[in-house]
Amino acid sequence: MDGSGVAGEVNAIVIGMIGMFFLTLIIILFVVVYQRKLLKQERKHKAAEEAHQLELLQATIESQEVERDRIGRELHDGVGVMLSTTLMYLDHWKEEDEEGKARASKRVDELLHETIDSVRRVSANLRPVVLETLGLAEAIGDLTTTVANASGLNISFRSVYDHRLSQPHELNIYRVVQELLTNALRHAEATKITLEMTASADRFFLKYEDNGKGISKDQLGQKGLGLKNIESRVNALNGKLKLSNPSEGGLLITIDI
Amino acid sequence: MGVVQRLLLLLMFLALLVECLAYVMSKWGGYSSYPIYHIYTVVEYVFLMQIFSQTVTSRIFSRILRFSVPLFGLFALLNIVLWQPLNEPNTNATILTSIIMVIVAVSWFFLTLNEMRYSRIEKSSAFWICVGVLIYFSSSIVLFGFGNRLIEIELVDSISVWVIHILFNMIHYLCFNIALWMDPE
Repeated sequence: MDGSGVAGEVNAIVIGMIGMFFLTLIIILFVVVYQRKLLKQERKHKAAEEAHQLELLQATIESQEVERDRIGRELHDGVGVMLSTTLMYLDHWKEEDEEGKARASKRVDELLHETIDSVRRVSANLRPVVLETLGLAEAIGDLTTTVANASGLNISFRSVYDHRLSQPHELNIYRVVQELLTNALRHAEATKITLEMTASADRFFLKYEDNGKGISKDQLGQKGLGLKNIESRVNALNGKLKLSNPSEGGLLITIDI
Repeated sequence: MGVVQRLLLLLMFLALLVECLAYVMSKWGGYSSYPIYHIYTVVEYVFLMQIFSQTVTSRIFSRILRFSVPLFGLFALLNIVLWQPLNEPNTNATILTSIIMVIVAVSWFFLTLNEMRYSRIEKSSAFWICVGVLIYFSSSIVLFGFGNRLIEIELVDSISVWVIHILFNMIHYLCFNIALWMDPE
């Protein structure tokens, strides 16, 4: 056998083996480096997600404090003042003559009625009676009518509510709609609002659309307290929130649970 | 020590036993050690498949690995009966083992990257097992692919090939030893 031929064959095998070794090393190195890179990305994503959740939580807490502050002021400035005035009339009751007593009696009666109305308003705001007694569809219908009458906006509401949700779910969605309407009144500069709601056994869908100024990309990135509240509530319901500016203008928000 | 590491330790012990037996048989008995390697190839395949099936989370992949064991055993038996009897080197079975092991090791890397199971992959025992398997069996594909040709060549002329093979075998078992000390699966 030709010696150089044998040596050539042996060398080819050696080169092949060493080549495979280096190929293996490249694969192993790639895996280690790529795994580190993926891990870094995942950690970054997780940190961003946690920061976002914290932001939502802070927004929820802030919103609750604002609400408590408002209720506190309403009770102090409204109910508190009326009850104090009533007490003052009752304190001077004995000193009055018959005519004075009649006037005081009438005034106390008016004040107590105003107090009761004020307490009912605060209570209804805390827990809407319509929601508890007639359900979500009627409560939202009632809310849209009230807002439309107060603001002059054209608000249309359509619903297919075949499957009633649990009370906590209904309250959350009611608050979301309240927030949407509040946002529209404060920021949207819209004249027409459309709300559609459908609920079946396995899906709840809410669509909000207005013809206002919409939402910019910056505003999408840095959401205000209202939108963060909505997002927080939708997350709590394991739902998906989508915000977009339709081609014809305005704002479109869909909530899918 | 986890299940995987126990299996690995047992495999390494068996490998040592086989090498010692082969050495004794050839040096003192004058017998060929080829029959032992026919059997050891199958045993090694069984152990490695069991180890890999314990380290993957994909049930389908694990089932495929386990299912391949009897198929490989059948092939090894057919190889003995039809092509390479016990007194000849079992290069066919060895090449097939090498190809399968390389595919399994690369697949393990791919699956693990997708799952993101480890914060530091090099701290897992399975990683080092795959490294050892990949280094040794990838070079074995080349070596045993020409195995029948190498037998015809004088040992003096082919010594470099066997030296490299021994070196890769040492790296192979060194990686297995590192795997024994890493985090159990």
